[in-house]
Amino acid sequence: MGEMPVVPEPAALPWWWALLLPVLLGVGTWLALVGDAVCSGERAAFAVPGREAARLLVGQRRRTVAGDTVLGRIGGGVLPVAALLAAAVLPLGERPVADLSVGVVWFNAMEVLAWAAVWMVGWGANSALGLVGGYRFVAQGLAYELPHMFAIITAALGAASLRLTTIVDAQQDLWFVAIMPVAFVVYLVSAAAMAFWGPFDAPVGRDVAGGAAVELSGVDRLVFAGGRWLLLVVAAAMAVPLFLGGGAGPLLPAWAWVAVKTAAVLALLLWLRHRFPTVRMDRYVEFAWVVLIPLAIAQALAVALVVLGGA
Amino acid sequence: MDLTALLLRVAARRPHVLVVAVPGATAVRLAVEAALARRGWPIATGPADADVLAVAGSSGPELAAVVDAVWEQVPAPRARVDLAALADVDEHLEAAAALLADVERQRTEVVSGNASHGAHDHSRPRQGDHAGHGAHHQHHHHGHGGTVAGLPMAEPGPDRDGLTLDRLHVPLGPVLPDWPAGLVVRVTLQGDVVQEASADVLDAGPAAPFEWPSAPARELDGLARFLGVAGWSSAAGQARRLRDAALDGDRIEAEAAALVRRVRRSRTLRWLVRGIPAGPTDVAALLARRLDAIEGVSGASPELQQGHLAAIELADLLVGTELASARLIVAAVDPDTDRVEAGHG
Repeated sequence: MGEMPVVPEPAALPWWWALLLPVLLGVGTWLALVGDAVCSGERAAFAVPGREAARLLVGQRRRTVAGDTVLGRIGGGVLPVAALLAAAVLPLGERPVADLSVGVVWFNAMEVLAWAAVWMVGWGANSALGLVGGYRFVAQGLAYELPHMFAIITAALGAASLRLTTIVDAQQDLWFVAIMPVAFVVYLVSAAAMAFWGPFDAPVGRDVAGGAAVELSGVDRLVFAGGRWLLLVVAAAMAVPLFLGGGAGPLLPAWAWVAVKTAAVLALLLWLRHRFPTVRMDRYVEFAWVVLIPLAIAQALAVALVVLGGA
Repeated sequence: MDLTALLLRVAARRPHVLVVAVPGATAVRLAVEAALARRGWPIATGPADADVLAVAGSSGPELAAVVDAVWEQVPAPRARVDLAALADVDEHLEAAAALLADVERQRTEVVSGNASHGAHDHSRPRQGDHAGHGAHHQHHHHGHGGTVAGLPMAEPGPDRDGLTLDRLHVPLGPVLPDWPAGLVVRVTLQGDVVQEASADVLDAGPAAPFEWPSAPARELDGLARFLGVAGWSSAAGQARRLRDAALDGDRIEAEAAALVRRVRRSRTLRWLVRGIPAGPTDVAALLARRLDAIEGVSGASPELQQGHLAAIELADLLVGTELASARLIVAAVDPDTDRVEAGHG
């Protein structure tokens, strides 16, 4: 095909999609909230996110004695910003807002910000339970981050590229979830842990009265909780280009398949929370280092051998 | 159009309610929790998360002081209901929702709250070491590291790993989610490890203990709290629904058996509660006994459930545990603080 005139196809979406992206994610998050309310058996589930948002918008903000308010508020603000920046490399259909050659690394770098953010919120309140919550998330990071990195690197390995559009193209024949099921499962588990969601919600657990978020009210709580939901939605959406073939699928356009697959992954994550009790840090760190990391490494090794064999 | 008024009205449809359980008023607490479940109003995790503060019962002087301190920490818009009797729970909650939606009232409250600067902003240290819901650093009188904003710094002390770490004096309770009524456990924390603990029940006195209509209802109440602490909200909600049904006189045997099966079958829960000692027994055994009692296999409640005695022994069980385990132990033992004798504490 070398003789054909090369028409450079723009890999990224036009610039104004950067403005549309927060709106899209917001709508996705709103729907996820409704889904969770339905799962929890709430009455008027469709109204729950609206009522909650209204409640927090009119709520008074609080400060605590000798708290580091600036640190805490920066921490809360970092969560939604990190989620949005991570979503920039997410192919919405066929193309992402920013088609970075190191998309996988960018995504990982952005989500790691959550680690700092939750700790800053917990520390900033000068409150013992907040501090415990913040440190729980640091411990949780020690448990989830390594298996998580091995899982996403396995997908990059399978496509021999860190560019997400290339990873999607590499799955035209076979979705990566079929070649690397262990990496997919590890990714899902660590996605929940990263958004301190589901069985990994100890950092904001009931037993410590809300943990890192214990002193947050009003718009501070809205930003923190909203950021956490955005993070969950983005982490679920990233499973689609990494393991589920991106926008590939019959009949429907690519963007619709991305939406459908993201919704399916989100539903799985919502179900996780209802199915399992909170996994405490002392047990999860042990499980992650003894079981998840060896499994993830073995998976990466197997995929590496397949790639080498195919080359 | 008045946006604030609109938001207040929308928000008042589903306020978060912080329920303060008063020892000796279990019946009122149960009525409040059932009313909240009927309305679909969530139970708040702490004052920061609350719109309505509902005091279930008439609190004695010690608890009343704590409740006032907690009320100071609830951000506006807010409403407080003191429920002394069983009958008017619904009316009071209705009135609280109306108050939350009342823009005139809430506007003045917001302004005064900001102006007085003391109420929500914690700009003065609170008095008494069991004020508040235990979230703040409560430093005792002997800080050696100077002071910050009038509060003494935490003093360092040796920890279990031979390090020197800060010691925080933190009261757990009496206003904590899924926590026994009126119980306060003052702990010294290093990181999240409990180094010292002493337990106490506020306003211990001659209260008429609540007569549970059925043993399964009582054990379901305890199970709901335990599952709540274990972070299994869907199973905890199921236990609470069944408890309310049992108290209404419905037959729940089949559903209770299904819940017991669900909890017993959860390998994750077993893995999580395994190997946490609680005196002569452990948390897993206490949970198993509670599940048996729900099934009606053994009617007798665990012998640790003997009011004040249990509260004092409880403190010894917590020393050396991590905060998450400590909460599980308290929830598993679940001391009946209604049955505390006068003259102690």
